[in-house]
Amino acid sequence: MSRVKAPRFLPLAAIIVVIVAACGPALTSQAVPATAGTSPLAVPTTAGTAQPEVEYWSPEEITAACGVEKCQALATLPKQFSQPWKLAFVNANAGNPFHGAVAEGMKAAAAFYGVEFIEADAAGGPPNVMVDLASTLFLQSPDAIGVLGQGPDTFEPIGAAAQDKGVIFIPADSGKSEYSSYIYGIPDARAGKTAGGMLAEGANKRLAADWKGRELFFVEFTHSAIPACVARTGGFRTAFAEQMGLDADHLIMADIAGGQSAQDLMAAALTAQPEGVFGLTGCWDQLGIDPYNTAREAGRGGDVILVTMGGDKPPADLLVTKPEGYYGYIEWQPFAEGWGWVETALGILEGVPVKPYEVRHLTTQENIEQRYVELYGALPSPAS
Amino acid sequence: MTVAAFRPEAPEGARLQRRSSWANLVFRYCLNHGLLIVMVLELAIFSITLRERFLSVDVLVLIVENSAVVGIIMPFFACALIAGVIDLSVVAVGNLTALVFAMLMLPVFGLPWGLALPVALVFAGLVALFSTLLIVRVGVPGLVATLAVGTTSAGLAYLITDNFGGTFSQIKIAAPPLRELVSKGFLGTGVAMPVFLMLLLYAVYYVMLNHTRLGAHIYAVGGNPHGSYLAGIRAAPITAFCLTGVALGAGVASIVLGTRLLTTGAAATFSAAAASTGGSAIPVPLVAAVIAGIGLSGGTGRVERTLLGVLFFSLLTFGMALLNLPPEVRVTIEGAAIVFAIVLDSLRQHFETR
Repeated sequence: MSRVKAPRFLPLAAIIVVIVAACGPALTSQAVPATAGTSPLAVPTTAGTAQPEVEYWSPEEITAACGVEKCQALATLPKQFSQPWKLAFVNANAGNPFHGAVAEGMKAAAAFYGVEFIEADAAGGPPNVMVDLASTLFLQSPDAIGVLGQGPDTFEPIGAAAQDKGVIFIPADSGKSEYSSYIYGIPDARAGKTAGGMLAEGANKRLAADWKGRELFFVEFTHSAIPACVARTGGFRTAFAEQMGLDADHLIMADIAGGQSAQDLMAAALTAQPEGVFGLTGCWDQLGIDPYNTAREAGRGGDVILVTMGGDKPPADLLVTKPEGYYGYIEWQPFAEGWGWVETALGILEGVPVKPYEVRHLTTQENIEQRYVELYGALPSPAS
Repeated sequence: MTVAAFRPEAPEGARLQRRSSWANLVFRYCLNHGLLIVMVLELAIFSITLRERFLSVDVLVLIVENSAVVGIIMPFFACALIAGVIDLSVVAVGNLTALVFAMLMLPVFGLPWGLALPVALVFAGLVALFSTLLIVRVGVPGLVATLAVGTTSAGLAYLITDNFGGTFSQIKIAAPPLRELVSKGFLGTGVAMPVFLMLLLYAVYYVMLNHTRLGAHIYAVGGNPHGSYLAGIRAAPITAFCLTGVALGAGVASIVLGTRLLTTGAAATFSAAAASTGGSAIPVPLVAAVIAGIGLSGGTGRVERTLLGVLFFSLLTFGMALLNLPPEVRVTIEGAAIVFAIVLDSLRQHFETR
């Protein structure tokens, strides 16, 4: 029986056409327009040998441009760069409030300084996805590249590839890479110690009141595969244990890198110490809030006190309701951190001195309303 | 019994020959080559939206290289599915093998990578043989046996990182020659070695499954276990062959990935086989197999089509990442793509058997 044969090669031919088209001359990349706020070189040269007078951004201009976060300039950068720099960043998950705010800060800073910024988001994918995305960014020949809050399985291969390609690698909140001279981000151990002191303050108040005579434990929710977490919660533990005089038997390490959830680990601690009271923290805000909610759901909300490290909008929304046991948080100011990464990268590229990033806000139930209005405009309505 | 007796392609288009109108031809063509057509559409959409960020040889090579890690496992995994074995231990065994490989190169053992590699693969093979024993000798269903072995392997992986993993529960893989091999262009082609390995494995499995007696036996055991038993085909060696293959493939793929990432750890998501499925816990090989129309009940499917499944999924993941789509949109699209592929395959089977 005769029948019309379908041309099976058609889709294959289409793929070949696309690939052949791709082999053609690359499209010209779009020029990055200078943004409002940037101004040309102040004084042009008057003689052939005279050096041009370079105009620099003032700290006040930076703070004003940064908006509500009132960023502190990390580098005094010229208004006209020595060359048109291109910065690249691999984001782990822009859908996460912290990561998203960091990315927004980077974009805003890049726009302010008039440099090209290219970004790829792994949307919570595993390390190999981030490494592959970095590879696509390398194809666009950036001058510096960064990655945020990752372990060695992500930042080391990206760093190695950057080194191969002669690109400056500036990992953020990731710890020390063998392939980079630079460390940028939250000063984890110091910030942890500050937050630990904050929890000690809150715990002492409770021990002098409704917790009088109760046995205090500290539960540290961390992720041992993320260097920043180890330093951050480690610093917290050291400060809290010192100030509260806790021995090793009263310090509980709850490491979620082993696959257990923070909620399960909290439930285990509550079960093991039915008469105990607990000081809690987590490497990031949600990692503290999840076990805190577990305690509340178990009817033990009165037995815990929490200080989170990081305070994005969701923790702010919770703290502003002044729930029992949520003492406060140390803010990472992710927008300012993202802004600062761009300044750091440009400072390194331009060869100007760069200051480390600092966190500056401790927010408690006493000052949350004022801070909330500063950041988000108005307090949430009681119904919301 | 002849080899041809178990050929899976026999019913292709047989029932659809009655009508030869142009519309029918197009419809049938779309059903048979739906995945390829969608891939072309995918390429076109990303090329238009991303322009030079996507449309370059370097990016396309990168996508193929990215596919290679899962692509190395895929022929083995597809073969096991055709034989009626769903190996749920693929992620954990691959991970464990990479960890054993990394551990053997630590100063405490001091093996060079050339020696650590075969030892780690032999270990993977032994794990697979244990799964086979559970299935064939003890009579545990394949799904349960591989799930149990996978869970045990995950536990062993944590045991290794706890004892040898240093501060961050990971072991560094320090094998510069191996990294050169898996990350840089191979034989001056500009394409990394894993791509060639993947293509070689596909070629070998294509020939084996379609042109050898062993391949016919694999289809027979998967499609009709009782009938094949009556025909004198022993299922035990075939199960052992398939599971060992999956373990070796997963081991090699995870070592390739670990070498690229310069380190390996115990977390299951690290493994090549678990590489992003948009945050879901389904191993990529299973997704690729489903997309490529390999029947989960065994006895049907074409190994070469799974290469399309791998490329399709890799292209989708990569393109959406380059577009910086929100995570929830990506997961939704990935899920919809899987549903679409299953519906397409069901329609094709429906029309073939009507």
